Amino acid sequence: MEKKLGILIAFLVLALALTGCAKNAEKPADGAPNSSNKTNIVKVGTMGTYEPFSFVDKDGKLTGYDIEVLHLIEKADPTLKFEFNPGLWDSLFPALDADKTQLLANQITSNPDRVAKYLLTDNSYALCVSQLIVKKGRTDIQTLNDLKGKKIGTTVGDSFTRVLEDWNAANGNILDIVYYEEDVTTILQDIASGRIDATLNDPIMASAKAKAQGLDVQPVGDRTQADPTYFILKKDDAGAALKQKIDAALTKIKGDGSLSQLSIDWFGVDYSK
Amino acid sequence: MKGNGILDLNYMLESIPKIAAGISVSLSIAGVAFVFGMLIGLGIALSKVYKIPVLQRICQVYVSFMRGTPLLVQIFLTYYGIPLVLRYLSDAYGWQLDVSRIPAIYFMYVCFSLNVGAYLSETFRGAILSVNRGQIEAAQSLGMTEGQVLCRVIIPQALQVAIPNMGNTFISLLKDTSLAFAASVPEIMGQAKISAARTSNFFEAYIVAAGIYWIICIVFERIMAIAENHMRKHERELFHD
Repeated sequence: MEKKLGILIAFLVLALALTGCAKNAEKPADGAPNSSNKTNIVKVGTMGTYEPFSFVDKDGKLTGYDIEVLHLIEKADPTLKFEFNPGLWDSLFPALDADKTQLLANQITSNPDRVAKYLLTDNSYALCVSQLIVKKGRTDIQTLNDLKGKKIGTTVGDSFTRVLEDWNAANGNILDIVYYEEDVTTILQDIASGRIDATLNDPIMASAKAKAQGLDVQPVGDRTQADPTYFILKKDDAGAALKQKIDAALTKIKGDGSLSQLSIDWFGVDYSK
Repeated sequence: MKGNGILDLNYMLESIPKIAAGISVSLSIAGVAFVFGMLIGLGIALSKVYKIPVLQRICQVYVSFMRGTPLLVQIFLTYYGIPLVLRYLSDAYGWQLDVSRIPAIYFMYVCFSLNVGAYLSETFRGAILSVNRGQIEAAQSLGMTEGQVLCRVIIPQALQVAIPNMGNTFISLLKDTSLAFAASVPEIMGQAKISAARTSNFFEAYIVAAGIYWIICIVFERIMAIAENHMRKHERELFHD
């Protein structure tokens, strides 16, 4: 705990020094605990390149399933107002640590390290499924075992990478993992061009991207996993207060069926359970 | 996850070997790029100094482009652009070339060589122009050929002027290799990100990476200082006598 507090203070000091100003007007702590009628502006960290969950549409508007869930929450709880800050995946968590954002929405799943360091909402809002994605027409790859000696690409730090690393460690390191810093589009391009053989990712997202970019890739084999995804908050009083409000709103939109409807609108299937 | 102040020291110690695994990749990119960059740079500098008609113009555009665009953009252009061109050529001329099997690091060798070559060309050009006109005329009056003047008079003196700038360029180059992870080449910074992402210890990993870069740069600064001293040996004797 001491360590986390220390890091937090270090990041805060850094953030203050870098921005050169001490005013932190939008701290959710100000109005959150008593849930007064005052509107809370919550800054949300998200990639903005993770179609169809968080992306910029052709009109230049940030949208996606995760973004629209937050818009539903805004409707359910008028005291909440979200402001979106798109950024690279590996900058999302440091920005939350530094209080530059107060909430992360990017199909984030739970894992022990995350639970130890951050607050996750009690309610999930989607299921993150994963499947192997290969070049269209390939039939030699159905499971991870088929990838022995082949290259599998993955984005640094996401949940699929963790699944792959854990699987690899438990199965004699037969996978040749190629790490990417960029979002999954780059990986899909490299699969289509034959630089790497496969990736493990969300088949909904991959199909949407492949269609949008005209890339010849396809999901194969079984859907290996179905992890619930959560909103991530900072582990402090302000974070806890915000989490309470968001969980209440999530319960509400789950209860009245509007979240299920949103999932069906986006994916054709109800992934909200 | 032990509580010990601002930084997780255990994590830092454990991550050092993982992050250090990227040193060889970073050094190989910097080394290969510097050698080829010197050749490119020397060629450009000479074509500019001797005002070779068409070549001089081409070099001008090349240097202007390389210095006027961000290295990160150049990395993407080489990583995605070269395969497209090669594949097109391969199809057009029926070569049996499997572009996709060329490891990503080769594209980085090409990209960094082209980039650093442009910077070194200006260093070399300045150094060549700094050689006293009288020296060249003296050499010519002794009946030396153009080639002899270049190898025996101009280059030894120009090198002495160029070395401090070359050292500077090399150190910049070494640090620029931290961008190669954008093309999935796992150099020092890439290893730091891979290692940190699992446990969200980004701050610690970046400190370790910074330390590694710094140590390498200190070593090279020393080497450059020795090289410079060596090149100026004759001057020292002159002043001390």
